Amino acid sequence: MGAPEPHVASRYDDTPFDATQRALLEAAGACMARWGVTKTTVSDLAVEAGCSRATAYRAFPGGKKQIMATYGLVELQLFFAEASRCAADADSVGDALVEVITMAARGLAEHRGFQFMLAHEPGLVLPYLGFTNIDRLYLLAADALAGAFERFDPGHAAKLIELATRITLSYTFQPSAAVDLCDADQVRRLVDRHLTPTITAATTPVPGMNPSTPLAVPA
Amino acid sequence: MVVAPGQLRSIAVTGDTRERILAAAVTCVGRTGFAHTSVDAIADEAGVGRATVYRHFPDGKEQIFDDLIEWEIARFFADLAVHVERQPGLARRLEVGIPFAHRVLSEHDVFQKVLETEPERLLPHLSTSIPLITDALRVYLVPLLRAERLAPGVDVEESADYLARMVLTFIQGSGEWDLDDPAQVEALVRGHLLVGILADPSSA
Repeated sequence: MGAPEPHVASRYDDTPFDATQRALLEAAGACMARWGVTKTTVSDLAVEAGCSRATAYRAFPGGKKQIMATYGLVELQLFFAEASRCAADADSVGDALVEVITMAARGLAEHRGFQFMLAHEPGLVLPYLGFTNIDRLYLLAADALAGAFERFDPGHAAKLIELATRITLSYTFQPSAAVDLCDADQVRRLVDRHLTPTITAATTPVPGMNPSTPLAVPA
Repeated sequence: MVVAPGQLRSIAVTGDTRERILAAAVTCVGRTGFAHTSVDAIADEAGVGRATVYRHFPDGKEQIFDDLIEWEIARFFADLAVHVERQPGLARRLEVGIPFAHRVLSEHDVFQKVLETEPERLLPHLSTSIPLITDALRVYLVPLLRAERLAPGVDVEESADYLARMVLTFIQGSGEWDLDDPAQVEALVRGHLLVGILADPSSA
């Protein structure tokens, strides 16, 4: 069984995967959006990719689990690469933050596979995004975006990216009636209020708190 | 007086026995996970009979688990509120409260055990609890914010919501910050979380 015809202008063009693997990754995205992860089988993926089950297993010996995990990882990498491009085009750190947060919020809102999982298979998302593994995601984000942000504020880039990631995840998982991160103007207000001032604060050291100083508690 | 997150206190406390059973269930689930915890084990741990357990929790194990999650969340935030109540001002409360809450959650046997072995069990609870927790935290923060000297143009409700969200993310994961280092916690609270909100966060 030969590999399927290579996709024209696949979003996986810059990845190291061959044509069959790319077709299977595309298939993973399509099946996830349609049925979610749990109900998708290797046969579904093979049919969608236009190859046989045997070919699918040759491309990904770990089967469905490996295809889905690879798909997730590649999506994340592509997502961060896109975020990094958004930040690289910006003229100021504020613009970069607005671009990245808006792009990320829209990307997650429009990602059909992710939204399906969130709605129907949240148990698959929670362990990665909810708690203990969250620090790893912050690190991934900081690594991916460091280059784009360090030109503005070398010492502070990682923390700034992490805050932006926290904001994006919080408002994505728990939408707010008042703030819609898909709206660039609203993101701009949030960034101007809460994130941009952290940079000026970071460049001037925060004076140490003297615990013995009585603190005024306004009435 | 600090107001504990009121919305979370929906559990009718019907005396010591009920609390003892819930506390016993916490111990058992923390030890072996939910799936391997039996009503008998909970009864033994609590020092009561099976019948007593079923009198308080007619639907058995499932009901105990549902109630214990709410009970633990309410206890968690009540402890947190007590822990910070003597701290003067918003900044100090956050500086003391965030590391405390992060530590309690990361050392919480039941939470970590269930998260590791049966995350799907926590989900229905988390999806209903987290918005309530955020809301309770926001309500708690509003008067604290009003008591501070705020930066020009600050919308108290918006800032309380933002702070509540950020505080919860730091309770969950500390990321780049070492929450055991008071200097880093201070930089986080004054240099990041409050920097756009307070007129003078460094001296608040």
